Amino acid sequence: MVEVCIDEKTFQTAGGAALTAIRGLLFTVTKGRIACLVGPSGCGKTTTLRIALGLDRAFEGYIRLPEPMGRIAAVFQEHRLLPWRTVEQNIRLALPGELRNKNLTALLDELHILEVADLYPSELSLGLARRVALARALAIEPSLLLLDEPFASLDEETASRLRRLLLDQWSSHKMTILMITHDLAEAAQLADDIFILSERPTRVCRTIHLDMPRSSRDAAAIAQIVEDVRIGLREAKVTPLAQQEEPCQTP
Amino acid sequence: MAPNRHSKKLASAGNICASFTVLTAIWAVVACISNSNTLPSPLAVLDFMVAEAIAGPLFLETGATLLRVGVSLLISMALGSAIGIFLGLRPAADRFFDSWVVLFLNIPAVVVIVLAYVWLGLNEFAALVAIAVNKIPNVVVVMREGARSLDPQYADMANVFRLTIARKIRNVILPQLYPFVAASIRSGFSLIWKIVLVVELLGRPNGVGFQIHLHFQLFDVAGILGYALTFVVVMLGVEFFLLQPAEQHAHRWRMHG
Repeated sequence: MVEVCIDEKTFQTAGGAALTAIRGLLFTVTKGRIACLVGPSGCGKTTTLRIALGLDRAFEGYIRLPEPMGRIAAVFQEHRLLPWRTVEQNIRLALPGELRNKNLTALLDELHILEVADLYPSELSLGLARRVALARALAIEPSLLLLDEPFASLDEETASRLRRLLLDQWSSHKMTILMITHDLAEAAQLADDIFILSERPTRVCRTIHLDMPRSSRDAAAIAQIVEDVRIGLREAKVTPLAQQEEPCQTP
Repeated sequence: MAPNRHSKKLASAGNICASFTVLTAIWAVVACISNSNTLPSPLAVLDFMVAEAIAGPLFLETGATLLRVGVSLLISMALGSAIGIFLGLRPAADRFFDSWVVLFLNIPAVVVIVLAYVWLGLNEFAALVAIAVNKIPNVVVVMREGARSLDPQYADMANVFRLTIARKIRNVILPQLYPFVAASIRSGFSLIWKIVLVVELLGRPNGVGFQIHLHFQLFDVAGILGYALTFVVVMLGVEFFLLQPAEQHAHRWRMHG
């Protein structure tokens, strides 16, 4: 179980003013489930992810990770591959000591990046670079995977193939996944839980649990879920900001 | 691509040869017209260099200077990089020590050299300290800029994937600092060898600087030019056969895409 509780996260703007990005944000991702964060752009989803990853510690609240903690991997919005290392070197670099000599062929083949393994990131298209970033995250066999719009700006065919691949890896490796997405259909297709976030200061204004198995989510079911999420997002916009939540209980 | 690059290289080599030939010709003409002891012809200088190489200490003296250049460059790079990276990553320390850096940047080289000899004695250690103190502030400034420009996105990536410190330094930090290291080494070479000559001239019993001092006292301009040109040739060799290939190797990932 991953518990994210951000009482408050404030940024200093360049002008010196304080900007509250997040207030009273609380959600829990149950072990082995896929959770999606959706919300208006600029609402602090990426900030939330950075805090969950431990990259930003200047906030009030806490992040509770499962014990014992396995490996954590992330796919960022930008691919963040080292331009001076080849594709394979980039992936191998992330491998922890016990996996260092792992055979990557199968994974690279599944992601259709085997033939570019010796190229440098500057020689790749955006779609390829994103696949490499996904490969880097999956290669370490994480128990928790955080994804920040990993399939944005990919053509639909590639995106849906990668979603299937992600689901395969998820079911075979028992990962917990937290994913930010703008694509509501994607969330409807992949998620067990969808957290709908409000505008700044961000909090969870609605949670949708999807109990229907993924295999039985046909086009009509997905359209229905998307509609639910849309309603939730509209509510998020009209919810008065003054409404104060109880601060989360610090453990 | 490859043959094109090759022919470009040849063309630029031809260009350099032509421009040096013209320069030598001008020198020869001026020497011929002035017909003075104080400006020997290119041929006379070449004669001196050959004779000094065969019978004299040309290689020994050049080697001594080159060794000083190498050792002091190593010391300056190590200390200067450490200080520069520290200042680049710690803005508070940088604000405090910035005036020190500016001060040391502006102390004339000769003052540092004379003081080093006065305080530490006329020995090799004082010579190396004097050279390093002259060069370190330049390295600090360049490496500080390098440390400031480290991309936090890569640091985040390294932290998420829990890279060990050694792997992080080797794969994430050093490649980003490499252009700055290369810049300070190259500017370091041209700066340091000039300072080394002054250091040798003022207080060392060997090296190109000592020989220039010697030939200056004898008013032997062919000797002065001969030693100076030999060392320039050596430095050009280091530049073309060591520094540039190393840089190209480190930048091979940039040549694509």
